[in-house]
Amino acid sequence: MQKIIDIVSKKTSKSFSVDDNLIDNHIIDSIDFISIIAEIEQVFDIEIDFLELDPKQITTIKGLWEIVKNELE
Amino acid sequence: MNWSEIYDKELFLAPNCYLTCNGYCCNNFFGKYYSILDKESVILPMVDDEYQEYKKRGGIKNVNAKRYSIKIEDKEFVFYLLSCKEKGLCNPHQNRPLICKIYPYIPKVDTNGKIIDFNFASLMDIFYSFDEVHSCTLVKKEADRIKSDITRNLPKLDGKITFALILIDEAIKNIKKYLPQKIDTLSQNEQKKFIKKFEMLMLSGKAFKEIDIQKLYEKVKNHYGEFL
Repeated sequence: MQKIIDIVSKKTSKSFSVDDNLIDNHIIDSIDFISIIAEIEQVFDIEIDFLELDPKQITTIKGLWEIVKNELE
Repeated sequence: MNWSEIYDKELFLAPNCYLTCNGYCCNNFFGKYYSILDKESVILPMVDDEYQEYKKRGGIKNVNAKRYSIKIEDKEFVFYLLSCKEKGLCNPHQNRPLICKIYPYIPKVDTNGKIIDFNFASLMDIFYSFDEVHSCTLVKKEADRIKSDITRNLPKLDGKITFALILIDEAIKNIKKYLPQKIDTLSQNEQKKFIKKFEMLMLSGKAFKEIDIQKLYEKVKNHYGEFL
Protein backbone atom coordinates (compact mmCIF):
# COMPACT_ATOMS: atom_id res chain seq x y z
CA MET A 1 0.00 0.00 0.00
CA GLN A 2 2.95 2.32 0.65
CA LYS A 3 3.71 2.51 -3.07
CA ILE A 4 0.20 3.85 -3.73
CA ILE A 5 0.54 6.33 -0.90
CA ASP A 6 3.80 7.53 -2.45
CA ILE A 7 2.21 7.93 -5.87
CA VAL A 8 -0.68 9.97 -4.44
CA SER A 9 1.66 12.02 -2.24
CA LYS A 10 3.52 13.23 -5.32
CA LYS A 11 0.29 14.84 -6.58
CA THR A 12 -0.78 16.67 -3.45
CA SER A 13 0.60 18.63 -0.55
CA LYS A 14 -2.48 17.84 1.54
CA SER A 15 -2.48 15.20 4.25
CA PHE A 16 -4.72 12.18 3.86
CA SER A 17 -5.50 8.80 5.34
CA VAL A 18 -5.93 5.53 3.49
CA ASP A 19 -9.71 5.70 4.03
CA ASP A 20 -10.19 9.25 2.75
CA ASN A 21 -12.11 9.74 -0.46
CA LEU A 22 -9.39 11.48 -2.46
CA ILE A 23 -11.83 13.27 -4.75
CA ASP A 24 -14.62 14.28 -2.34
CA ASN A 25 -12.05 15.56 0.15
CA HIS A 26 -10.31 17.57 -2.60
CA ILE A 27 -6.99 15.87 -1.95
CA ILE A 28 -6.47 15.45 -5.67
CA ASP A 29 -8.51 16.54 -8.67
CA SER A 30 -9.94 14.26 -11.31
CA ILE A 31 -7.21 15.03 -13.84
CA ASP A 32 -4.55 14.05 -11.29
CA PHE A 33 -6.56 10.92 -10.64
CA ILE A 34 -6.13 9.79 -14.25
CA SER A 35 -2.35 10.07 -14.03
CA ILE A 36 -2.32 8.35 -10.63
CA ILE A 37 -4.16 5.38 -12.12
CA ALA A 38 -1.69 5.26 -15.03
CA GLU A 39 1.25 5.31 -12.63
CA ILE A 40 -0.22 2.60 -10.40
CA GLU A 41 -0.64 0.35 -13.44
CA GLN A 42 2.92 1.05 -14.51
CA VAL A 43 4.50 0.56 -11.09
CA PHE A 44 2.68 -2.71 -10.39
CA ASP A 45 2.80 -3.83 -14.05
CA ILE A 46 -0.93 -4.56 -14.13
CA GLU A 47 -3.90 -3.48 -16.19
CA ILE A 48 -6.97 -2.75 -14.13
CA ASP A 49 -10.31 -3.51 -15.77
CA PHE A 50 -12.10 -0.35 -14.74
CA LEU A 51 -15.26 -1.05 -16.66
CA GLU A 52 -16.19 -3.66 -14.07
CA LEU A 53 -15.51 -1.45 -11.06
CA ASP A 54 -17.62 0.92 -9.03
CA PRO A 55 -16.18 4.47 -8.99
CA LYS A 56 -16.56 4.59 -5.19
CA GLN A 57 -14.23 1.59 -4.94
CA ILE A 58 -11.28 3.39 -6.44
CA THR A 59 -11.32 6.76 -4.73
CA THR A 60 -9.55 5.69 -1.53
CA ILE A 61 -6.01 4.40 -1.09
CA LYS A 62 -7.42 1.32 0.61
CA GLY A 63 -9.81 0.67 -2.27
CA LEU A 64 -7.06 1.09 -4.84
CA TRP A 65 -4.81 -1.26 -2.88
CA GLU A 66 -7.57 -3.91 -2.79
CA ILE A 67 -7.87 -3.71 -6.57
CA VAL A 68 -4.11 -3.93 -7.05
CA LYS A 69 -3.91 -6.91 -4.68
CA ASN A 70 -6.63 -8.73 -6.64
CA GLU A 71 -4.82 -8.06 -9.90
CA LEU A 72 -1.52 -9.32 -8.49
CA GLU A 73 -3.00 -12.55 -7.17
CA MET B 1 1.69 25.60 -37.12
CA ASN B 2 1.03 29.30 -36.84
CA TRP B 3 -0.64 29.45 -33.42
CA SER B 4 -0.42 33.22 -33.31
CA GLU B 5 -2.56 33.40 -36.47
CA ILE B 6 -5.10 30.99 -34.98
CA TYR B 7 -5.42 33.02 -31.79
CA ASP B 8 -5.68 36.27 -33.75
CA LYS B 9 -8.70 35.30 -35.79
CA GLU B 10 -12.06 33.57 -35.64
CA LEU B 11 -12.23 30.37 -37.66
CA PHE B 12 -15.96 30.73 -38.24
CA LEU B 13 -18.65 33.10 -37.12
CA ALA B 14 -21.72 32.09 -35.14
CA PRO B 15 -22.68 35.18 -33.18
CA ASN B 16 -24.86 34.58 -30.12
CA CYS B 17 -25.36 30.90 -30.95
CA TYR B 18 -25.15 30.18 -27.20
CA LEU B 19 -28.51 31.89 -26.76
CA THR B 20 -30.17 29.08 -28.71
CA CYS B 21 -28.83 26.13 -26.69
CA ASN B 22 -28.36 27.35 -23.12
CA GLY B 23 -24.60 27.41 -23.69
CA TYR B 24 -24.45 23.66 -24.31
CA CYS B 25 -20.79 23.64 -25.47
CA CYS B 26 -19.44 25.18 -22.27
CA ASN B 27 -21.58 23.25 -19.79
CA ASN B 28 -20.99 19.72 -18.75
CA PHE B 29 -24.64 18.67 -18.99
CA PHE B 30 -24.00 15.01 -18.20
CA GLY B 31 -21.50 15.89 -15.46
CA LYS B 32 -24.24 15.55 -12.86
CA TYR B 33 -23.84 11.78 -13.23
CA TYR B 34 -20.08 11.79 -12.66
CA SER B 35 -18.67 10.23 -9.50
CA ILE B 36 -15.01 11.10 -9.94
CA LEU B 37 -14.57 13.42 -12.90
CA ASP B 38 -15.37 17.04 -12.12
CA LYS B 39 -19.12 17.66 -12.44
CA GLU B 40 -18.71 21.31 -13.38
CA SER B 41 -15.65 21.37 -15.60
CA VAL B 42 -15.09 20.86 -19.26
CA ILE B 43 -11.64 19.50 -20.09
CA LEU B 44 -9.82 21.23 -22.93
CA PRO B 45 -6.75 19.59 -24.47
CA MET B 46 -3.96 21.42 -26.27
CA VAL B 47 -0.57 20.47 -27.67
CA ASP B 48 2.45 22.15 -26.07
CA ASP B 49 3.01 24.61 -28.94
CA GLU B 50 -0.54 25.88 -28.56
CA TYR B 51 -0.06 26.10 -24.80
CA GLN B 52 2.99 28.34 -25.27
CA GLU B 53 0.93 30.73 -27.40
CA TYR B 54 -2.02 30.56 -24.98
CA LYS B 55 0.28 31.29 -22.04
CA LYS B 56 2.09 34.10 -23.89
CA ARG B 57 -1.26 35.83 -24.30
CA GLY B 58 -2.07 35.47 -20.62
CA GLY B 59 -4.48 32.55 -20.94
CA ILE B 60 -7.97 32.66 -19.47
CA LYS B 61 -8.71 33.74 -15.92
CA ASN B 62 -9.49 30.96 -13.41
CA VAL B 63 -8.61 28.16 -15.82
CA ASN B 64 -5.92 25.76 -14.62
CA ALA B 65 -3.68 23.78 -16.94
CA LYS B 66 -1.79 20.57 -16.22
CA ARG B 67 1.05 19.15 -18.25
CA TYR B 68 1.09 15.55 -19.48
CA SER B 69 3.37 13.65 -21.78
CA ILE B 70 3.60 10.41 -23.70
CA LYS B 71 7.07 8.92 -24.14
CA ILE B 72 7.84 7.84 -27.68
CA GLU B 73 11.33 6.42 -28.17
CA ASP B 74 13.62 9.04 -26.64
CA LYS B 75 11.11 11.83 -27.31
CA GLU B 76 8.06 13.17 -25.53
CA PHE B 77 4.68 14.19 -26.91
CA VAL B 78 3.66 16.93 -24.51
CA PHE B 79 0.09 18.12 -24.09
CA TYR B 80 -1.90 20.10 -21.58
CA LEU B 81 -5.36 19.59 -20.14
CA LEU B 82 -7.20 22.72 -19.06
CA SER B 83 -10.05 22.45 -16.61
CA CYS B 84 -12.61 25.15 -17.40
CA LYS B 85 -15.67 26.08 -15.32
CA GLU B 86 -16.31 29.44 -16.97
CA LYS B 87 -19.47 28.26 -18.74
CA GLY B 88 -18.91 30.43 -21.80
CA LEU B 89 -17.86 33.53 -19.86
CA CYS B 90 -14.16 32.95 -20.50
CA ASN B 91 -12.13 36.09 -20.15
CA PRO B 92 -10.55 37.22 -22.38
CA HIS B 93 -12.71 35.38 -24.88
CA GLN B 94 -10.10 35.75 -27.65
CA ASN B 95 -7.71 33.57 -25.64
CA ARG B 96 -9.94 30.52 -25.70
CA PRO B 97 -8.23 27.35 -26.96
CA LEU B 98 -8.46 26.04 -30.51
CA ILE B 99 -10.79 23.26 -29.38
CA CYS B 100 -13.28 25.94 -28.26
CA LYS B 101 -12.80 28.08 -31.36
CA ILE B 102 -13.74 25.21 -33.66
CA TYR B 103 -16.43 23.63 -31.48
CA PRO B 104 -18.59 21.63 -32.35
CA TYR B 105 -16.04 19.92 -34.61
CA ILE B 106 -12.40 18.90 -34.78
CA PRO B 107 -10.79 17.88 -38.06
CA LYS B 108 -10.23 14.26 -38.83
CA VAL B 109 -6.96 14.13 -40.80
CA ASP B 110 -4.75 11.71 -42.68
CA THR B 111 -1.07 11.28 -41.78
CA ASN B 112 -0.21 14.12 -44.19
CA GLY B 113 -2.37 16.52 -42.18
CA LYS B 114 -5.06 16.75 -44.84
CA ILE B 115 -8.58 17.21 -43.49
CA ILE B 116 -10.65 14.23 -44.62
CA ASP B 117 -13.68 14.57 -42.37
CA PHE B 118 -14.71 15.84 -38.93
CA ASN B 119 -15.21 14.41 -35.47
CA PHE B 120 -17.23 16.03 -32.75
CA ALA B 121 -14.98 18.17 -30.58
CA SER B 122 -16.49 17.00 -27.31
CA LEU B 123 -16.35 13.33 -26.36
CA MET B 124 -19.86 13.54 -24.94
CA ASP B 125 -21.09 14.61 -28.38
CA ILE B 126 -20.07 11.42 -30.12
CA PHE B 127 -22.97 9.49 -28.63
CA TYR B 128 -25.90 11.15 -30.38
CA SER B 129 -27.91 9.16 -32.95
CA PHE B 130 -28.29 11.92 -35.54
CA ASP B 131 -27.22 15.53 -36.01
CA GLU B 132 -30.90 16.53 -35.73
CA VAL B 133 -31.08 15.48 -32.08
CA HIS B 134 -27.75 17.03 -31.12
CA SER B 135 -27.95 19.72 -28.45
CA CYS B 136 -25.73 22.15 -30.39
CA THR B 137 -27.70 24.37 -32.76
CA LEU B 138 -24.74 24.63 -35.13
CA VAL B 139 -24.68 20.86 -35.59
CA LYS B 140 -28.42 20.79 -36.18
CA LYS B 141 -28.59 23.71 -38.60
CA GLU B 142 -25.19 24.78 -39.91
CA ALA B 143 -22.96 21.72 -40.02
CA ASP B 144 -21.86 22.07 -43.64
CA ARG B 145 -21.10 25.77 -43.39
CA ILE B 146 -19.11 25.37 -40.17
CA LYS B 147 -17.06 22.46 -41.54
CA SER B 148 -16.32 24.34 -44.72
CA ASP B 149 -15.27 27.50 -42.80
CA ILE B 150 -12.95 25.53 -40.53
CA THR B 151 -11.36 23.79 -43.53
CA ARG B 152 -10.81 27.12 -45.27
CA ASN B 153 -9.60 29.14 -42.31
CA LEU B 154 -7.44 26.71 -40.39
CA PRO B 155 -3.74 27.25 -41.21
CA LYS B 156 -1.69 24.34 -42.55
CA LEU B 157 -1.42 21.65 -39.88
CA ASP B 158 1.98 20.63 -38.56
CA GLY B 159 3.16 17.17 -37.49
CA LYS B 160 2.33 17.62 -33.83
CA ILE B 161 -1.30 18.65 -34.30
CA THR B 162 -1.73 16.02 -37.03
CA PHE B 163 -0.45 13.39 -34.61
CA ALA B 164 -2.80 14.69 -31.88
CA LEU B 165 -5.85 14.71 -34.15
CA ILE B 166 -5.23 11.14 -35.33
CA LEU B 167 -4.70 10.06 -31.73
CA ILE B 168 -8.08 11.57 -30.81
CA ASP B 169 -9.76 9.94 -33.80
CA GLU B 170 -8.39 6.52 -32.84
CA ALA B 171 -9.50 7.03 -29.23
CA ILE B 172 -13.01 7.97 -30.39
CA LYS B 173 -13.21 4.73 -32.40
CA ASN B 174 -12.17 2.77 -29.30
CA ILE B 175 -14.64 4.60 -27.05
CA LYS B 176 -17.47 3.81 -29.47
CA LYS B 177 -16.43 0.17 -29.41
CA TYR B 178 -16.99 0.02 -25.65
CA LEU B 179 -19.99 2.34 -25.65
CA PRO B 180 -22.00 1.70 -28.81
CA GLN B 181 -25.26 3.03 -27.33
CA LYS B 182 -26.81 6.33 -28.39
CA ILE B 183 -27.33 8.60 -25.43
CA ASP B 184 -30.50 10.26 -26.74
CA THR B 185 -32.25 6.88 -26.91
CA LEU B 186 -31.55 6.01 -23.27
CA SER B 187 -33.80 6.56 -20.27
CA GLN B 188 -32.48 8.72 -17.44
CA ASN B 189 -31.50 5.65 -15.47
CA GLU B 190 -29.74 4.12 -18.47
CA GLN B 191 -27.97 7.42 -19.08
CA LYS B 192 -26.62 7.32 -15.51
CA LYS B 193 -25.18 3.83 -16.09
CA PHE B 194 -23.84 4.88 -19.47
CA ILE B 195 -22.04 7.90 -18.03
CA LYS B 196 -20.61 5.79 -15.21
CA LYS B 197 -19.13 3.45 -17.80
CA PHE B 198 -17.88 6.40 -19.84
CA GLU B 199 -16.26 7.86 -16.74
CA MET B 200 -14.46 4.63 -15.91
CA LEU B 201 -13.32 4.32 -19.51
CA MET B 202 -11.83 7.81 -19.34
CA LEU B 203 -10.16 7.20 -15.98
CA SER B 204 -8.59 3.98 -17.19
CA GLY B 205 -7.16 5.60 -20.31
CA LYS B 206 -8.16 2.34 -22.03
CA ALA B 207 -9.25 4.07 -25.24
CA PHE B 208 -5.75 5.52 -25.65
CA LYS B 209 -3.80 2.51 -24.44
CA GLU B 210 -5.12 0.41 -27.31
CA ILE B 211 -3.62 2.74 -29.91
CA ASP B 212 -0.33 1.75 -31.54
CA ILE B 213 1.28 5.10 -30.77
CA GLN B 214 4.71 4.09 -32.08
CA LYS B 215 3.25 3.14 -35.46
CA LEU B 216 1.26 6.37 -35.65
CA TYR B 217 4.37 8.40 -34.76
CA GLU B 218 6.33 6.69 -37.55
CA LYS B 219 3.60 7.37 -40.10
CA VAL B 220 3.36 11.06 -39.25
CA LYS B 221 7.17 11.33 -39.14
CA ASN B 222 7.38 9.83 -42.63
CA HIS B 223 5.55 12.86 -43.96
CA TYR B 224 6.67 15.68 -41.67
CA GLY B 225 10.09 14.50 -40.53
CA GLU B 226 10.86 14.58 -36.80
CA PHE B 227 8.10 16.63 -35.17
CA LEU B 228 8.52 16.02 -31.44
